[in-house]
Amino acid sequence: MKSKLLLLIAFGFWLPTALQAEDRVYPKTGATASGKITKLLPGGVVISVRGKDQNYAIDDVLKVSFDGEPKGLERGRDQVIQGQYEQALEELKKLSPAGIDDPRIVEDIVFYRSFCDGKLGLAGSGDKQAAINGLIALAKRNRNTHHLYNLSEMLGELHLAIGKPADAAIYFNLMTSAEGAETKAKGLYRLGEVELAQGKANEAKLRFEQLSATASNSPEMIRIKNLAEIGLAICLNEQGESQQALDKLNAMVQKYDSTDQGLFARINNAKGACYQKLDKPQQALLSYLQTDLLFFTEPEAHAESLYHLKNLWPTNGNPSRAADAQARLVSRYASSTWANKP
Amino acid sequence: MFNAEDDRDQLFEARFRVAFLLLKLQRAWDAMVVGDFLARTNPGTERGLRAAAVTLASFSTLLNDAGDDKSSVTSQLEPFAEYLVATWPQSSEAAAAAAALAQLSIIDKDWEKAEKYLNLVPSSNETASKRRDLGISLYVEYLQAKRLAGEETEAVGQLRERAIKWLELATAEVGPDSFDSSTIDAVNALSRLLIAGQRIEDAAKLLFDDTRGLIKTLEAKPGVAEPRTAMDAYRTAIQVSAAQLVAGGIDSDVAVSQMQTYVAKLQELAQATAGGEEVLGGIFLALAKDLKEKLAETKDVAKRNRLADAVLLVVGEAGKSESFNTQYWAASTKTEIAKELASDPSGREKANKAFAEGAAILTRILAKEESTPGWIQPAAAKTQVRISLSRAQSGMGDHQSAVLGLGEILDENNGLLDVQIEAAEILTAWGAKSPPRYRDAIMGGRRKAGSNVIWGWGKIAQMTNNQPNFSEQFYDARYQLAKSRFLFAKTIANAEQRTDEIRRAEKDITSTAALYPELGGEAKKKEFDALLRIIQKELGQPATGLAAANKK
Repeated sequence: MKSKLLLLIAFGFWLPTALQAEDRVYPKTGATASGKITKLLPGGVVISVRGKDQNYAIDDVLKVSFDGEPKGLERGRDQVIQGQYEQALEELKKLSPAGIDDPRIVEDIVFYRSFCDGKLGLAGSGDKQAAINGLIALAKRNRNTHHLYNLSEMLGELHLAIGKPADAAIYFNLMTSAEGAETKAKGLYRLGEVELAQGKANEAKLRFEQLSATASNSPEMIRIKNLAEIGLAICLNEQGESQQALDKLNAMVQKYDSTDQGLFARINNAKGACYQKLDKPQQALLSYLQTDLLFFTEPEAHAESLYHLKNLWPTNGNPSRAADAQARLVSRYASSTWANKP
Repeated sequence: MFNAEDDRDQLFEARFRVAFLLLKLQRAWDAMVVGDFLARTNPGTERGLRAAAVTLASFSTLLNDAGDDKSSVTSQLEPFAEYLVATWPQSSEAAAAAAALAQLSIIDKDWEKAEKYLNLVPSSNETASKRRDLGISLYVEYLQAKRLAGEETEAVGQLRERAIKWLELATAEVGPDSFDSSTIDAVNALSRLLIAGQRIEDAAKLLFDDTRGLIKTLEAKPGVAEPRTAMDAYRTAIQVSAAQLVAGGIDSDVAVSQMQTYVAKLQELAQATAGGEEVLGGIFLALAKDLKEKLAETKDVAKRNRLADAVLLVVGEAGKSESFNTQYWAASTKTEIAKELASDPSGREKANKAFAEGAAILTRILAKEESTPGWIQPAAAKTQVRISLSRAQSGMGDHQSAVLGLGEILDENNGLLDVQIEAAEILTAWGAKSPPRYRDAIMGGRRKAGSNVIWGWGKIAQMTNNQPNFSEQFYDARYQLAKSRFLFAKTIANAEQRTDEIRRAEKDITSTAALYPELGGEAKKKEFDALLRIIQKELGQPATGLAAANKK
C-alpha cells in the first residue's frame, strides 16, 4: 500500500478529495484548502492545513464542506451554487439530520433547505413564509453562522417580495455591517432597492451614488456597481428625468455583458418604466417583452415584466397576448406582489 | 440555463436561433425584440449584423401586417435604423433600413425625414430607387406648390432645387445600359425642373448627350422603355428644344426641325401602341400647355416672337396630319399660343392669325367627324373640340358664336363644370363690347324650361361651394363674380346705381373673405386683394385691400 501511495505522489497524483476525511474551504479563486476548520464566523473561515492556519474572508469563499458530511449535502450544495434549486431541495430533503452528530453539518442542511425554499418562493413556486421561518430559526440558533449574510440577503429579498420593505431593510442593514466590501456593497444596493420600492428615490439615489463611487474593481464589485448604475437610472426616471435615464440605460445595453441575465432583466424593466413615463406605451411594451423572452430566469423581474405586458398588450391591439401574460403571471408567480397588484 | 462558465458564443447562437425561429413562426414582434437585443449587444460585429438582418425582416413582416396605420412599427424602426446606420454604415442592412424609412417618409410626405435617412447611408442599389422616388415626389410637390402660388416664389424655387438635388443623385450613374421606365421618368422630371431653373444646357445634355443622353438612347434602343414612357420623353425633348430656342442655344431652324422630329416620333409610337392615340391626346394637351407657359414666362419680345413662330410653324405642319389627335393638338396649341400672344398688345396681330388658324382646323375636325362618324377617338373628345372652337372664336372676337357653341353643349348636359366656366369667361370677355353680357356672366342665360342653361359665376360658385375637390373653381368663381360686377358697374351711367353696384362687388369680396379668410391660397388671395383695392379706390375709400376688410 505504502509503495502504491509513493508511486502516486511520484506521478503527481493525490487522493481524490471525496476520499479524504477532512474539512474543506473552496475559495472563489485559487486552490482548495483541506484540513480542520478552527473558526467559522459570519466574516470568515480559518482552516488549519497541516498545522498552519489559513484565513479566508467570507466574500472570497465559494463553499465550505465538512468532514464526514453526507454525499447528498455535497451534491445539494453544488446544485445550489449552479442555481438548480429544485434538484438541490430534492436532494437535501432525503437527508435526515437526526443521525448526524456534527452540528455544522446539521446547520448546513437546514440552511440550504431553507435557502432553496426561499429561492423557489421568490421564483413563485415555493413557500416564502416557510423559508422565512426556517432561516429565522437558524439565525436564532447560531447568530455566528458563516451563512449569516447570505441568510440575511435571502430574508430581505423574501420580505420585499411579500410586500414588507421595512422588514427587508432590517436584514439588508445587517449586511452593511459586514467586514467584507462585497457583502457591505450588496447590502447597500439592496437597501437602495427597498427605498425604491417605498418610493424614496432621493434616498435610494444616495446609496447608489455611494456604490458607484466605490474604488474596488473585483468582478463581483463591478457587477454591484453596474446594478447601482441601473438603480440610479431608475431614480432619475422617478425624479422625472426619464429621457436622461433612458439614454443611460441604452448606453448600458451596449456596454454591459449581455450574458448577465439579472443585469439585463433590470435594464429592460427600467427602460419599460421610462417609456411609460414618457407616454410611449409601444416602446415600453417591447422593453418588457425583451425581459419576458430572454430573461425569464430572473423571477422578480420576469413577474414585473408580465404584469406590465398584461396591461400594455391591449394598447398594441393584442388582447389575447395580454390574457396570456396574465395567465403566466398568476400561474408562475402566484404569491408575488406583481400577481396581486391591481 | 446559461452559467458564467458556459460558452458565450453558444449563448449568442442559441438566442439568434430563437429570434430566427420566432420569425419563422410569424411571431414578428417577438423576433424583432430578440433580434434587436442581439444587434445592440454585439455592436460592430459580424454576428450583430446577422441579428440586425433578422430584426429588419421582422420589421418588414410587421409593416406588411400593419395595415394603414404603420406608426407603431415605424416608431420602432426609426431608432433601430439609426443605430444600424451608425454601427454598420457600409452594410446592405443599413441601406435597406434607411431605404425603408425613406420610403415610409415619402408616403407620409415628410420630405425632411426622407432626406435625413437617405443622407445617412452611402449610395447603393437599395437607396438609389428611394432617391429617385423622393426626387419624383418633390417634383410633384413642386408642381402643386407652383400651381397654388401661381408663380415661382422663393419657397417654390427651394422645392425645385431640392427635387433637382435628389434626381441628380438618382440619375448620376444612369447610362445607355441602365435606362428603364423608372429612370426615364426621373430624367424627364429632372429635365423639366432644370428648364424651370434656367439650366437649359444641363437639361439638353441629359436628353441629347451623344453617349448617355436619353433621346439618343431611345433612338439607339427603342425597346428600352414602355411606349408611354418614351412618349413622355419626347414631350420633354420638345420642351427642352423650345427652351433652348428661347435661351439662344439653338436657332429657329434647328428647333423647328427637332420639334418636328419629336412630334413624328410621338405619332409613330402612338400608332404602334394599343391605346396609344389616347395617350398621345393627353401628351399633346400637356404639351400645348407647356409651350403656352414657356411663352408666358418669356418676357423679351424678340424671344417671344421667335418661340411663337417656331411653335406655330411646327403645329401648322402637324395640323396637316391625318391623325385626329395631331390635328387637335395643332389647333389647341395654336389657340393657347394665340391667347398668350394676345395678352400683350404687340402680339395681337399674330394672335388673331393663330386664333383663326386654330378655329379653321377645329372646324375641319368637326366637319370630318360629321362626314366620317367615329373619326374622333375617343368619342368624348368631340365635346373638347367644340369647347376649343368656342375658345378660338372668342379669341377672334366672335363671342356670340363662341357662347352659342357652348350653349349647345350645355343643352345636352348642363352639369359640365369646365364648359360652364368657359362660357362664363367668354361672357365676361364679351361684356367689354356689350355690357349687358356682364350681367349674363354673373346671372347666367340661355333660359330653358324655367332655368338658365348657362349658369354664370353666381351659380358656379354656389355649385362648387364646400366641395373640397372644386375649391379652386369656387374661389375663382367668387373672384370672377366680383370682377364682372365691378366691370358692369363701371358701365352704368347713373352715378347712384353705379355706386350701389360697385358696393355689391365690394361685398362679393369682403363676404367671401369673412367666411374663408384663406381665399384659396396666396396667389388667389393676391388677386382678390388687388381687385378690392381698385374697388375701394373707385368708391373713394383708402385702398387698403383685404387688410382693412378683415377688420370690419
